[in-house]
Amino acid sequence: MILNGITVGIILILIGLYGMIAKKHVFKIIFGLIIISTGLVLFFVSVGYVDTGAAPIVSGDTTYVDPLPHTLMLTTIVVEVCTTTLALVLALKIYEKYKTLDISTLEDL
Amino acid sequence: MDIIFIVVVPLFLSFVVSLMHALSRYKKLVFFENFLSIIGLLIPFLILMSTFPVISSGDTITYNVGGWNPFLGIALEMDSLTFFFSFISLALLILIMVYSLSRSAKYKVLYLLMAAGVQGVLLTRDIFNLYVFFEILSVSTYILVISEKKRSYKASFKYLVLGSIASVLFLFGVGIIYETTGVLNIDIISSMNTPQLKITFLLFLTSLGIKSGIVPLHFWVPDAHSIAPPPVSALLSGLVLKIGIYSMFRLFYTIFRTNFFEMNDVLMAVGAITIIFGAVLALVQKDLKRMLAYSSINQIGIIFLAFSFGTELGIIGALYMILAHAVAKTCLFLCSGIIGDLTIVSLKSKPSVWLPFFIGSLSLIGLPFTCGFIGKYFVCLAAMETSNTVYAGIILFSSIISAVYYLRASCYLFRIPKDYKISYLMQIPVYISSFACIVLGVLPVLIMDMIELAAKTLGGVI
Amino acid sequence: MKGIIGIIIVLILGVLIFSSLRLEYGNSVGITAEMYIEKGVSETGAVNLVTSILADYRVYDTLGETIILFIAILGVSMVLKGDKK
Repeated sequence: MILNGITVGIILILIGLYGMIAKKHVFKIIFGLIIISTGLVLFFVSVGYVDTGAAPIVSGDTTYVDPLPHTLMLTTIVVEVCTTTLALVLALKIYEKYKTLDISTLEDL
Repeated sequence: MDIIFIVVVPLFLSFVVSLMHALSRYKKLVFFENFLSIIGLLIPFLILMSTFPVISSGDTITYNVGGWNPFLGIALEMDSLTFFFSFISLALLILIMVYSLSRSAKYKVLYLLMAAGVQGVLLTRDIFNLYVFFEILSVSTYILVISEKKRSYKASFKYLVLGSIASVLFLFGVGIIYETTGVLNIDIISSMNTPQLKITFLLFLTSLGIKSGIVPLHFWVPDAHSIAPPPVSALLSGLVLKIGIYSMFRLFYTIFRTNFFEMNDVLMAVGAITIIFGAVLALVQKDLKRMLAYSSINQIGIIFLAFSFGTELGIIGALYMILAHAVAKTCLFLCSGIIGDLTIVSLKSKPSVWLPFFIGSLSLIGLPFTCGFIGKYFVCLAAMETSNTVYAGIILFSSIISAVYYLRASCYLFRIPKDYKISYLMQIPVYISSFACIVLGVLPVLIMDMIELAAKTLGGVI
Repeated sequence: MKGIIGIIIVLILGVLIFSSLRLEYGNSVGITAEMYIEKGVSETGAVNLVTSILADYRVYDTLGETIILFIAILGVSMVLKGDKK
């Protein structure tokens, strides 16, 4: 199966990156950031995935999935939330000041 | 004292300062706030100096957080390279803190948190932890950049977008490394001696290139530098750009060693383009701080070029340039702050900052008896040694261009009448940093042992 | 113009990633993960391995995470309310 978690995660990262580079609306850039972080979480969790692996809560002798990526992603989610919050607050201030959220018109002001 | 206290002390005191600010609704505690902010940077500096005997004998100090082995937990390590960067960064942080003591409490809290982030990046040996502390550093810088100027929110937003692209690419690279090796510790990964994938190297190169302002990725540098309050501009140029370069040193000479030496020539060309681009664009700027920002790009290009020669002489040159640029650029940005801050107070009379500005300019141009000269001398020697004489020519050419714009700016400043008194707290850091430019230029012996030791640690021989 | 640049960058990156990355999905776990699964419960006492890593092995990361949260709150208050002395 080609369409597994790793590939989908990478595709999401690429889509988000395209959004952040190409889009002209401030909110769409922030959405790009959110899509990238979702893709990253999917990518990392899939890296740690094992077929027939149970959730990493130890009980008897079975195979478990890798617990480390889950932990790392908990940290990453918080970091991305903080960055997104700051971006949204800045967008609010930009709108208050210029009454527009279009990057191409903001460049000229 | 364990080396982790270098990170923890500013962190803890930043919370104490914010608590005091909350209490100061009832009673003014500004003096204690200032005192604690200085102490919070001075104690790490003393701890750092206490490790000097061990480091200078060529040993390293390791500390495992929580006592776990480096596979499971997070390892911190202090070696000569870390010591060198930590020394520069703490000295600069203290100087600039003295300069900006009159600012608000929130500024000081963010400043201390940022200092903790810088030290965390320098000490850690774990790639994911490196990402976390890089985020602490950059998120606090996004906020510090905001000033009263009109375009500040736009500049901060631009910086935030590019910075988060950089950190996302970094994290993606960490994921690929974890998938291929299964370990996150830098030393263990590099002891495996397996060449990493080329795409991982490119991801890290792009990410750290954005953080340090290498040319095709430099968009945020001029905006953020010219908009930020002067002390923050000095920090950005003197410290934040250098932390990106430090991470390159740390990662490219260990994990990506084979990839790095494969792509040597391309990186040198990128460095050369950065040098010329920065120098030419600085020449056409009208705004002083924007000119200084483009000059930073120029200097970063020289550092990157010297770093990508890969020889020991090249590393020595790069480290000396980092020191020289940090000291001189801090001096110039603080001078620009003194000039710019007072435009509101009095339009005609301005304080005399001509002399420190002139000395800093000479150092950045690279004239003899200043520290910039010794840095450029080593870089040119490294270029000759690896038979890349063209690059030595490019560095000399960019020095001539920078001589033009710096002397023009100095002449302009010289004509300003000088009968304005400003507080000594703002003057002292300026004079100390311009004095350091000359001392390090006349007596390079003072720091040379440490730089040579650091270059040996990296082992930059092709 | 920006759209074209974006498409070009993303296409190059995508081709590079998918051509060089060998995708091992669902295979066995790495060295570190084996050590966690082997020693985790006996060393930390937590049955849930994610908890044991988050709050014991890599607690330094969690510290950093909370600091970033603090910085973001401080930043939001600073941007919205202004930087009063």
